[in-house]
Amino acid sequence: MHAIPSDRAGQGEKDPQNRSFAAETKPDFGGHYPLVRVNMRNLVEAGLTLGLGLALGSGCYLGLDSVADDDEAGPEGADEAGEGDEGDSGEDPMPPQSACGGEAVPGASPLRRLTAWEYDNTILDLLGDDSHPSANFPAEGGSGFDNNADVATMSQLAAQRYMLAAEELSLRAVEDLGALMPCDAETEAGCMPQWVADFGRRAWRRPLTTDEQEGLIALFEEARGAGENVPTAVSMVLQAMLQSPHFLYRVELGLPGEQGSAAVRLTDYEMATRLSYMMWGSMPDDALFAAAEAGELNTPEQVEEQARRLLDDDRTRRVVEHFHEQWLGTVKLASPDKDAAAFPEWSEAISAAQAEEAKAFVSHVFFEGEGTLAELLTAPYTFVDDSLAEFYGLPAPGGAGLGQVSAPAGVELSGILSLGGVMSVYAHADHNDPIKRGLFVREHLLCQLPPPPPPGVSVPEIDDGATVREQFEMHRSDPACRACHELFDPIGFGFENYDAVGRWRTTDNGFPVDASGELTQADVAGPFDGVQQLGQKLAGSDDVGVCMTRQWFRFAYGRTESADHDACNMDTLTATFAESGYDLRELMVALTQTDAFLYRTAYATEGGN
Amino acid sequence: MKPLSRRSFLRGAGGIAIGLPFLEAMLGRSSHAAEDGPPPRFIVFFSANGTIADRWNPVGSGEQDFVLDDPSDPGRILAPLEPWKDQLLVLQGLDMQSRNHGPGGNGHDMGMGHMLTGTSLEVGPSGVGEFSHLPDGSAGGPSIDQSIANAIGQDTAFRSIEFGVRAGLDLNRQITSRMCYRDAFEVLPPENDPRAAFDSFFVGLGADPAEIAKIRTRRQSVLDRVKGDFDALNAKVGAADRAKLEQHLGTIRDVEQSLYAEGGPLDGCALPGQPDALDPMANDNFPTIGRQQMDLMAMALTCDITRVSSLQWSTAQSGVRHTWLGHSQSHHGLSHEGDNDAAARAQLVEINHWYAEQYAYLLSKLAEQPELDGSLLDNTVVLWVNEQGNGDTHTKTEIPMVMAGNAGGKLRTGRWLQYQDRAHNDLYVALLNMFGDDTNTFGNPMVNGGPLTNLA
Repeated sequence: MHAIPSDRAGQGEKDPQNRSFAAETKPDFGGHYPLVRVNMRNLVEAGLTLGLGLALGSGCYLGLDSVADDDEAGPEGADEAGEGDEGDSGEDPMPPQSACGGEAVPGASPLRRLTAWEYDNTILDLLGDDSHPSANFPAEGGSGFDNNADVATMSQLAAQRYMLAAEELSLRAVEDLGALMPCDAETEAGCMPQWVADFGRRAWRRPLTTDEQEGLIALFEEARGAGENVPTAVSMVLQAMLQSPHFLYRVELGLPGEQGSAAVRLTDYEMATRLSYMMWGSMPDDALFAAAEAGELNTPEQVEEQARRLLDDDRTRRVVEHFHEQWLGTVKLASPDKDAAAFPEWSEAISAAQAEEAKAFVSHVFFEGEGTLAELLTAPYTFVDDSLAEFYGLPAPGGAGLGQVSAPAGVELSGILSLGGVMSVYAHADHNDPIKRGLFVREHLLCQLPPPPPPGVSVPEIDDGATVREQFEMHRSDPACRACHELFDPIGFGFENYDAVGRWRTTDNGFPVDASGELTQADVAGPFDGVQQLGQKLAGSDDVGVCMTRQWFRFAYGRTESADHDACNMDTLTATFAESGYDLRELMVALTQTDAFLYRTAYATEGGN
Repeated sequence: MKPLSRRSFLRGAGGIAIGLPFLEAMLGRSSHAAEDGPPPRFIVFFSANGTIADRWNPVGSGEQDFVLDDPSDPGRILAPLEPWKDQLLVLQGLDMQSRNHGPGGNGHDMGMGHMLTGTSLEVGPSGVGEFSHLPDGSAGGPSIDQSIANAIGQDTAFRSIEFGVRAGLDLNRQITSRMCYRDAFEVLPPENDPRAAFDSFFVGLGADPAEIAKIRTRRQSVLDRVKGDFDALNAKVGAADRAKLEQHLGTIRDVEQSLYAEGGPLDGCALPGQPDALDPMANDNFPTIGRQQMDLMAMALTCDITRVSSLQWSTAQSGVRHTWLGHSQSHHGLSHEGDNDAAARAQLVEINHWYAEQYAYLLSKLAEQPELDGSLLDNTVVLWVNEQGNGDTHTKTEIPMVMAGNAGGKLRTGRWLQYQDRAHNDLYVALLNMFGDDTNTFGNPMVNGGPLTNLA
């Protein structure tokens, strides 16, 4: 329905002359959105006048030259074919073919450790234990989504916490040994080996090798030999399983014997794990394990069938909520920074409720609503409980908990753009800031990164004598400021009907709110008035569609897309997403059909290193 | 489902509870042979957002002629430290000169990243982000506490223990949230929950030594199996993945080592009471959590569980609202109004004064623990640092620092030392020399000017 922008870089070729804003991305900024570099030349090429261009040259601080253009996260050994130290079949299988033609290019395939969130979900599924063990794990991350494999680092504290968690979980599990193990390990000789094989297959998400089984049984025997009773000895085996890299990491060695290509096929079990963590944030269910066992998880069609089955399961809600709370920033509502004196009706409980509102909203769009980007951006309803309804001045939903309410006359609701929690996150402690909200749209929805402010800029006082818009006037009147601030201030003004804690308002410091704004440097550029009009614009934007694809790419694959190696992956996704009418559920399925998902990149050879 | 406490593991599988007597068995142990002298310890105490220099500076005419509590100007920031004046050094005028080199533009990234490392930041895969933050960057080298731990940390169960008070990790700002590094990209996260710290660091304390040995044997067997899995897997993966697995394996070896190290606890060593259950991340619990952490830190040193520790009050750009002082605005918000607004300025002075009170509390906990002819404080250096000089303009000159305690006589305390154009690296080199590392540079060699020579 929407034309795909023709200036996208395709098939891994770079064409610097025609490079669009969307062609080159960098991972996250303070937010999660790797954005396109809006640099001086692009601004000038985009049609600014020469005079302004000169003014920009003098004033607008760029300072991004130190960031390399080269993608440093390229696939390991993409240029060095595996030498094949196994070489038993004598015949190389055909390298996996790409949907874009030629050999498949999966892009980087970093080893991924379970995030704290995934650990808890997995433990619940594996042991039925809902004690939330990761609460004691040290926080990790630092760039974008919490599952970015490039930034996770281990520490002694984390290793100790894994050990203590494994001990606690295993001791609890063996309290009811009969439930854990269907036979008597004390009296039946074959019991322990059978359990190691069966339970181990679930814990490590694949059948264990003979060596691995023998190692765990030896641990059991050694403990028994040292005088430990059966429950303790079993708990020790469980602890070893839970601290093993095969539990903590999603190990993907691929099919053995894949030679001579850049892309390697995964085993069916590895594919099952990719599917379940992407869709549910947890280990495979019995049906996925059965499909893997039967060898029915290795064609794109088979993968798609399972993907759709998983998508329909309630467990996918938490993945959708987890994506959005990071992408929207509503995860920050857990530690709010608001001036209670300025907003006496606000409280930390309200902030927590706003986080729940955002989750309920996105979950509804995906699972009860139409599931489209348009609905996400323009829905004229939200979800409130009694406390939020009173806080916002919206009708109470009736019943307990959160209920759907529509915008009353005179109030604009427009999907995520008007969520109280989002408005609150992108504001100061006691006053609005069009910069923050404008940057939210610019960076998180358009994937464009304006340059940082120049050093030494002093921020003038915000006072009560004028509206925020008027006080930001200097950004427009001073040419040194305007070049950059034009990219986000005019967008941010469009949100002025929402105060710093997310409530609708029609006056600001006693003056009537002026929510007129302008969107520039986008395919839907133009003026607008208020969030509903902004939402309509963005919902019709292919640039937003591409940006949304990038965000889901990063979240689903746990890494940032690379201009060099992910062109086909991105092209396939953006085309499918657009053709579906920007159906977000179809995007999730499409994410399982790319080279990046179906294969992994081969390791570099050992000898050559 | 209620989580089991650590002590459950000490129950035999038959459910028989094993008593946890005080360390009668261990108390008889002398701490250290008198000839060896007591081991020196090192503590970093961190607070954020800079200070108000003209209310922080001591008042007086010279190095030994000054007061911290000026009766004609009550409420000065360091006033709570007046009783400790003879046991501390006020270090005025050290600059974070290393910030003039390397990447990064955001004031709080620079401050937090350079504060304990004195070297250039490292940009992460994401490059430079909004407001010039380096979202997945890192400090560029080891922090001073870890460098000192390299010198003195091998004899204790834990090389170092990092305590935090609401020092959460902002998903996009690792550099502003963390200050302790073994090396670039090897961050040591602080433990924010006193109950979890209690479980982690005091487990087994007060237990029957035979029981401790049994737990150790079990853990060793389990970890041996786990290490075997890592070794086998390492042989099959590519170089980048192997680096990750090796790092993980290294941390497992650290945990393993911690099972064996036995320090020499002092007579006051006793299993602390388990801290009350409080939400450690709730803004209003900040003072109580801080106290609990300081109590645990003092006991960890007393029991020789570690000799290097740090206490991180919030993070750089701290958003804490000091409601117990009657404030409603966040620390960071106030710090950017302080230069222009008298009311905000007064609140910033109150905030920094409050941190001085907390620092004084920590000193008192260390001072009340006898050690040989003096106290634990006499053999501990407690360094109070900040990530900024002036919090509003983000200056990195004149970082406010106070250094209390002594390294067994190596410091000549009771003085106000004023420096001009000296890098804070020079302090760290002097400290390393005091702790037995005879290096002559720390961090970025380009800004090193040789160790401070007037500390002794």
